[in-house]
Amino acid sequence: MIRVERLRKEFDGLVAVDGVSFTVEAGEIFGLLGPNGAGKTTTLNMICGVLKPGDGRVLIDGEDVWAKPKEVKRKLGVVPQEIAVYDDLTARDNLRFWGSLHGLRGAELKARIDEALSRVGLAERGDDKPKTFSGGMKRRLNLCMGLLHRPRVLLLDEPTVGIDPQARLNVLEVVREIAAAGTTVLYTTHYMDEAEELCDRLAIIDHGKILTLGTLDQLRRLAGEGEVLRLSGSFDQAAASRHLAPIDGVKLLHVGDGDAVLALDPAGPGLTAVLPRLLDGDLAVADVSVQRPSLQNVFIRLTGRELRD
Amino acid sequence: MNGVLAIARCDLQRLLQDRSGLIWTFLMPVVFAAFFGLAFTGGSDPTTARAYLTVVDEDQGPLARRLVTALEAGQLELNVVAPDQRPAKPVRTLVIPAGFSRRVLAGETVTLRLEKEPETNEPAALVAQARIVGAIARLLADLVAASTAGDGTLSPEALERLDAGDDLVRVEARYAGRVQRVPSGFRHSLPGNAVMFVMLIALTHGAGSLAGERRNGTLRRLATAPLSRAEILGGKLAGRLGIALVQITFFVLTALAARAFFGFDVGDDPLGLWLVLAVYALTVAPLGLLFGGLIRDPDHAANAGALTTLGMAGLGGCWWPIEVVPEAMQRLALLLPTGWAMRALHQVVAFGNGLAAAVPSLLVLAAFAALFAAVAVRTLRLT
Repeated sequence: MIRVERLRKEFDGLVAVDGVSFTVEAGEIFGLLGPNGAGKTTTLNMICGVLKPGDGRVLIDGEDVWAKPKEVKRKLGVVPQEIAVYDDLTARDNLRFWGSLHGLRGAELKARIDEALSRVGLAERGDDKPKTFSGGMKRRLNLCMGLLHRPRVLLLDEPTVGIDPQARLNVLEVVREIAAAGTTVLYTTHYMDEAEELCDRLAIIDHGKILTLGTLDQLRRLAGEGEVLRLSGSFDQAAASRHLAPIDGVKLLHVGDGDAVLALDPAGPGLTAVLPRLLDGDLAVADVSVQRPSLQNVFIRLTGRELRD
Repeated sequence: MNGVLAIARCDLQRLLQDRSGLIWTFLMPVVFAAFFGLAFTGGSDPTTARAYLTVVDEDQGPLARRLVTALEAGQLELNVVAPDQRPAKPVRTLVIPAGFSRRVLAGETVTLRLEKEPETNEPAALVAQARIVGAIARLLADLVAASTAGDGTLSPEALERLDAGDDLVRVEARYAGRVQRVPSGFRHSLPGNAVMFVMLIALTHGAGSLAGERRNGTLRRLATAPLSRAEILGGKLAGRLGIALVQITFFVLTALAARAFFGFDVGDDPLGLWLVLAVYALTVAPLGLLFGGLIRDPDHAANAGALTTLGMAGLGGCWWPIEVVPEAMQRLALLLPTGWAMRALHQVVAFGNGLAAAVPSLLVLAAFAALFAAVAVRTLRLT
């Protein structure tokens, strides 16, 4: 349903997206997971036809976004990261406006508005202006506006940023329902738990490149069975490398001044055997944390840093 | 096309939800036009100006009365008083000396004295002098006619007999040469405030709301709708034009109501007024788009719009008639859309020359519109 081929985009010489390719099948929820500034929104903007790619192309249902923009955009519902609603119009008027841009009129438009408001739990607040809404309600209205015309493909750009857990659950629930009804969903986020909970397949993106891509199980396997250790203290990079690199069963993922990330080989001697050796010597380690296999570990193994960085 | 109209309607709807926007769009132009119209009624156009004249009649004779009657026929606010009722500070006073009638009938030379305050209104002084000379000429003509009628005796009775018949002599005073006409009263305040406030709303609300849309992401969201860039820009342009047309229509209807209920002199061509303002709206609508596109911060865009409007309004002749400023300033006004709009409106509203006389100015406004639209379309980014 969505085919992204070698997308590339530069801004003033800075490469924001660098050869991104993936496909999303019909009815699938596909996650684009990466830290802020990884290139998720730029990729999404090129997919929805807002930003022209420097190179590559995007096909939606077999049609090139930039060759047939209107036809493609009719199939797309976009929920931007910003709460892109008119604060000075009521929720209904906002929806009426966006619906009319998609060719909805009269009784059909009214029915769709009622349905969409109910779906996101805003039926009682339809005649109120968004400026009176909480952050979560605004997010739900933002989502609602992308769903109104029943798109075949829904693109969501970090739709749960800055909202309370209950509103977040509501948003995720709506996305699941939409996907269950056959809509293809592309979901960008930097929350790993959301990606794990929601997505059928995931791509991890950083510095404009896809680092890995697969189902949740495939990615977890990539993370391996071993744990990841994070050390911090007042040591320098050279000393840490000197002490940590020779330890059996330990792979050095990242070493810096005052911090280091290590992967433990599950076939190795184990944490209890390795830990004393790590701390033996003149490394002034102040803190050690252990992480179980997860998407976080995948990201750490691929980049040497945590996703939230 | 439906998308263009939907965007335009949405922009208009948003303005109607904004209380301060409503006040500045509809109420303030009317208040300003009414205030300045009333404050500057009376004008300085010598062809229409009225002048105050106090006549001190020390003679009380038949010829003095005839002179006063002749004066009353002119554009004068006349106040005839007896010598003992002379006001303390009259603007200008014509003194008809005692014995005026007797001495004139006796064939003697009599001097009439016009006393005036320094620094009085120049056009009004010209009016007064012209009317006094005209009245004297009228009196002399009557004397000549009376002396040649009947038995040739010049007497009050001969003059009265003259009144029973048709005028043998007609005295008319007209301005000759190049009269500089200066619009005043409502005929200036109405166009001036319409031009200023139409631009003010386009450049503050129009520019600020567009910059705000880019900031909150609705403009980017519009770009995800199944619309071409041209349709989105067309919708935004149509929105600003629609707001201006609603504002202009309300303004002209209010002016017509003021004329009907209060007798305000708002010109004789309300349709011409509306049409000129509509062409002017075509000019300022893309200017609002341009400001909103160039300036990213909504508050900065609105502030820049307000300052630009005030500058263009002052220099273009919205605050005072451009005819009263030095020639260099008058030439400067021709670089601005406000200057051309006022020029066109003066033809239609102040001078009553009709829409045809405004066509050259309207063509210049259309050229401004094309220029602003071209630059706005090139510079506006949706994301």
